[in-house]
Amino acid sequence: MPLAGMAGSDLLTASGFRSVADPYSGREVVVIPAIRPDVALLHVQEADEDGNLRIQGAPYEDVLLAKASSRIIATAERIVPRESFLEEPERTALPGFLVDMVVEAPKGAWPTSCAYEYEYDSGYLTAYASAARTQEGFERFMNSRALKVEVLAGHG
Amino acid sequence: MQATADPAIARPPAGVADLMAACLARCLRDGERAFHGVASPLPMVAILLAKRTHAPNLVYLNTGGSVDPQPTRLPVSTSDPALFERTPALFELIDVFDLAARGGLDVVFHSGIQIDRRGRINLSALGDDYRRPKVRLPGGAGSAHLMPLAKRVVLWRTRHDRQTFVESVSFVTAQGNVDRVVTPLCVFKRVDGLLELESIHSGVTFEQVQEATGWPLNPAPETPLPSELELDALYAVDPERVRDVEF
Repeated sequence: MPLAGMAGSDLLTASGFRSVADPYSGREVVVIPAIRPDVALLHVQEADEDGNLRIQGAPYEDVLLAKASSRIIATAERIVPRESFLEEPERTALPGFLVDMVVEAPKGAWPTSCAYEYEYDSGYLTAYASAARTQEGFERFMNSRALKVEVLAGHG
Repeated sequence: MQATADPAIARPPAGVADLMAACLARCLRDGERAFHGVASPLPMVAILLAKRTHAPNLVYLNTGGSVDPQPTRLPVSTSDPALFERTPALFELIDVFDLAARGGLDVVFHSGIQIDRRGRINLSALGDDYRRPKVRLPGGAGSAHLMPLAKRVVLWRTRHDRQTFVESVSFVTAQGNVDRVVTPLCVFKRVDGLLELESIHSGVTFEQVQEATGWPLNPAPETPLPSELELDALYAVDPERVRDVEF
């Protein structure tokens, strides 16, 4: 795919990106290979049982990533009635026919943030970052269900 | 007193629009994603008919950008806001084109001012010179992109004569994965890249089809008439007979 920008960046060589002459203008244009993930995992605020997904707050590239992927699996803070999507179709980020699975997962983005639902859990992330400095610490942390439960509970 | 008559008794015998709608609907399979563009009343009716009969999980996409709409009244224009009724999402034309580009569009309906033996269509120009045509046609409407990308292309045309069904189109607007062509006289199926007769409609002779078609044909059986189930569903989805508007 042709890509505007990137001129002069060392990322071109580092990533192995090539350029071609634009057959119309003759200018050099960076071309990058398309990324085709097998699976996209998304967390959204609301989904219905048909797999329609609604993203609130910053959408980032979630929709683009999802559409590029062969399969889409979504976790959702809430499963809402189908009628809710029929009332406001313009707020639907991804139509259900593209979505393979939906899992109801309240707090599913924890310990990162979920817009309008909760902020990221800095205590947990800090504890993780210090524990994960060593392999042993990482394993202890990941196996420490007590810590997860404690932090989850602490978050309310 | 009961005011309602049995619709099967009250309605007239199935006409050619009913049969064409049924033939187009039979081209669709359950669970597929099907798309029609502008000026496509018969495909609109056919998709809704298929969803109501053998393909309830068909995904209905259209040029306006809705997903599985449930219009309370069928419009004549196939980009009418009625096709946004009860849609859970918007899926705009650019999304449909992208979906096709990544191999996710199963069936697309197209037509042609000319359709040739290889299933190629001309929507651009009649005459030898594209820049100075005898007749400037309406334009390709995305068919050049979608026809090679959709897994199957179903063509329909309500006019079947030698000006329309030609050995070779004078300009190839689009070609691609044509599966079937439905006309008022017959159904063509593409076999080894060439359109062959699959069935001839009731009341039409092989000679009539051959006379109206610009390449040699072989005889074929009669097209199954719309069943009672199909007709019931057809009258339910299209009670005002929008399917007649193309004739």
